Amino acid sequence: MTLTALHRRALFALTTALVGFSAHGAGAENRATLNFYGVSGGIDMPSGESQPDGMLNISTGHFGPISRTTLSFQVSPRISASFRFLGIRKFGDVVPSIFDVYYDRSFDLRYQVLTEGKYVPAVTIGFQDFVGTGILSGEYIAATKNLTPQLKVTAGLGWGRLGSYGSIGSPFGDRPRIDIGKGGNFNFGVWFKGEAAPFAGIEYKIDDRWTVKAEYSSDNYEIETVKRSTFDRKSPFNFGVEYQPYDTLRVGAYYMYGDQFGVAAHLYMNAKQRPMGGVGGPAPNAVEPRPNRAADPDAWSPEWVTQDGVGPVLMTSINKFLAKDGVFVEAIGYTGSTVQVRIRNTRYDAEAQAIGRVARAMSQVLPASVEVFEIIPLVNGAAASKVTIRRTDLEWLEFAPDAAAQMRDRVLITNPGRRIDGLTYDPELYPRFTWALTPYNRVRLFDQRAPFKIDVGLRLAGRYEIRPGMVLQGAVTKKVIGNLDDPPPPIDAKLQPVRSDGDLYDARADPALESLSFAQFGHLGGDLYGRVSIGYLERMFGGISAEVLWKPVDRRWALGAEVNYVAQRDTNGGLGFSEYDYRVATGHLSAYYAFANGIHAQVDVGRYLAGDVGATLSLQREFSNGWRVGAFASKTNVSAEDFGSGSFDKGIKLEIPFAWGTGQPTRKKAITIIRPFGRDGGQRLEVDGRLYDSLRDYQASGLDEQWGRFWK
Amino acid sequence: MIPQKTVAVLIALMLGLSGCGTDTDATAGARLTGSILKGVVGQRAQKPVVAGPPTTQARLAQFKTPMIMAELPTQGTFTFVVPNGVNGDVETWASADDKTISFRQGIVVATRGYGPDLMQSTGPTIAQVSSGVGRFERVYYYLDGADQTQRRVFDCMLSNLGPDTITVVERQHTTRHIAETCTGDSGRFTNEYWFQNGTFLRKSNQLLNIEWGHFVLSRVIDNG
Repeated sequence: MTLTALHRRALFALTTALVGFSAHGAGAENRATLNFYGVSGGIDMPSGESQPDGMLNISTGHFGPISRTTLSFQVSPRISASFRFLGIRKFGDVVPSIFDVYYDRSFDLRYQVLTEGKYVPAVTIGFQDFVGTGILSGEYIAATKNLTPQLKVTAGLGWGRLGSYGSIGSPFGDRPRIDIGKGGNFNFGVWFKGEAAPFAGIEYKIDDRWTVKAEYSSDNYEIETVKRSTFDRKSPFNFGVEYQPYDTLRVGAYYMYGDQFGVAAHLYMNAKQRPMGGVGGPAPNAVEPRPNRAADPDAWSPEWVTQDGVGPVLMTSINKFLAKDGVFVEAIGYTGSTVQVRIRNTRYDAEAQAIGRVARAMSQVLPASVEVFEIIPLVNGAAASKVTIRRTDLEWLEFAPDAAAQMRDRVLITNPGRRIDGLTYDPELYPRFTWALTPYNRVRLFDQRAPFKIDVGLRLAGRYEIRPGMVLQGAVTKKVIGNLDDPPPPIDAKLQPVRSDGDLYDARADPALESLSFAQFGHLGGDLYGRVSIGYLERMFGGISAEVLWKPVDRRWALGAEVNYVAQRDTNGGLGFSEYDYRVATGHLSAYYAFANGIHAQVDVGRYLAGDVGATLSLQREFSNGWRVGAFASKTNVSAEDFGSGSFDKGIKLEIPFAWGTGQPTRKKAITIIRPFGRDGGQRLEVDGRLYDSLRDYQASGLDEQWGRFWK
Repeated sequence: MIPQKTVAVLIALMLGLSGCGTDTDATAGARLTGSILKGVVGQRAQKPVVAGPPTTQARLAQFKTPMIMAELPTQGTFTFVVPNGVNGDVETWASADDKTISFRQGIVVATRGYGPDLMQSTGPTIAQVSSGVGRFERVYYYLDGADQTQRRVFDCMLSNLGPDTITVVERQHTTRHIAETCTGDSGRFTNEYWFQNGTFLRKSNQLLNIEWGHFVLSRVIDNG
């Protein structure tokens, strides 16, 4: 394709506008908007801008036969990553195809080279669809400058798909064909190769809600129009109007390529900040200061320790003060000057808040001679750490300026240490039976036949805590409605179908015994913690799993080891193991490291469920309010050929705390794992209560993240 | 595909069933979703609380404890607080619906249970305010949406607005009216105080935070 004279003039006008006005640039008050690819940009073309750090966007854009739904995350101030699901309708209408609708997935990465300055535009280099089949593949460099607070312009140069219309030649040589293989590999060889073409855009913000956009696109839609005639690309110009009713939502309507109308909607979620600001929930009890020692020396006498049965009385009293908090004391031990309590927190997403509430309740109840409060949070009945608080600090700092920081300076967080002598458990507490009947849903994404399938049903779960740390738990599910029984196209599995038969379990296991297992958790002493689980551990496997974790309470690193011997369960959701007759020993050595900037890394090396051997690297960005956004990849000794589509296991993981969305304290999180190609290589056992993630919330790093809520 | 008629059943199931059981961990999510939906539906029907005295002397006569009526005009809410704890020179007053306001001799120094709470603060003494003259710094500490401490500093100035007769729950009071005007990087606000017999605060408007504005605090029962 070559440029017509008209287009060339229009492009010239846009680019000279950019150069000519950039000297008058004002501050970037006009926030970066998103395009049809769900990345910062105009309409169908990218821009040089970035979203605010930590912003997560869900975008959906549709025009003519094209639909794209994208999840984008601003990983750091300069780096963003996107995962996209694409559908092209009418794919087989003119040229026969096995697909009526062609579905594909794509990943993008963007790096902002320059941030906008007085004279300098924001410049971003982007890699679009840089892994896999590459139907959307394109690279670009885009520059954006705000000329006035209302007006911004973008100019850029695209390659690949983005260099397919109005080419200026191939500055870096020809573009080789992508060797797709089994997909899922980086297409290094083609980047910035082949024809390059300029693109440009302009955006005018009418007011805080309305924006109009126009752009010149360098995408020729070769496959969609030339090869498959899914629509007619009559013009390179796109026009749109966008409306932002809330901070969190933006919608737009467009006229695309002189032929098609389009719509788009963008959801904005800022992982850094709860939209409602401070978290709600009931006010705490105030700190109860002790009487003056000179005025009331009797109150300070430590003689109370000699009385029989004082422990349970104190425990009951403290629990009365904690009744509205969803936190309770399970056990108490004491000397004249120190009281140790073991607590269970069922509500506060900020663990420091649970500690703060217990400390204040203790101040209400305990005799004046007690100066040291030792609070030991329990996770699954096992001690996770020990927080030591001086009562005097609590009394003095309650209303002190910046009380949280002052308190943290004076509090000690250590490993649980040894039990205090005479530790007494609440005799009413164990054995403890709880149950819950809740709705559940199970989602399958991208199964070739449909982008999204879902089952909804009921889950009845029971939990019997025999004694501290010893739990028998089980869950049964009954589907109410859904379409997961509609199977995806069969695949030619070369490995044991440890996960790829998931759709068979979806279809046949109803009702299903999801899990039924016995587990023992414990603090083994020092910085060592352990877990053993036996039974029907997850819906596809049953057996035994054992784990130890070495996690110094105030260090950034931890080491763990896990061994499992499991058999694959029958697909009918019952008790049997005969259908597959498959047994496997798996296990991993794991290293964890929490970097200071909120980046968290985990490496697991070992043997996976299909018997393959290799390693998994997981990286995630973690926010103090509990948001976690990450990616993982596993490479094992399974060849790309045997692995199948995607070549190796990889995916993204998203954890969003309910407290973020609701503004109310709760420990509930929404956890989503998206694997674009869920196959059998690199798959681990899914067992409840893995130690690292459950313990670290209560250790120094987890408590410090939200320490401000100690006083909430 | 899911048949369309069943979509309604599906939604009804998701929305209607909030989950039940004794395992509060497991049902928390479902219960929250339910309560939010109820909140959304409820809010539409609910009219904002109409301003005006929400009580009478006859009703207050039943209570034998000091009481402050705390209104939040921007939220259309009010509550009654009574003394609940003392730590040093700070008194904490609590409401029946688990909200607390802490005062240092009548000056608001902290709140809890409101959500965007004032965590701690420093400011003038009641004697300073009562004098009606002077300039000082106020520092307010909040938690942001990431639970990190935010320190907001204001430069404040007092002015004496002279005598003022005000009505608090059907009763007229002769007071001295003092205003405190504060400006800072995050905004500006004005606290107002109506003093009776020296430093007894009959009524005041005091800031909770810039976004939600101020409390209207009326002392409705003096000493019970």
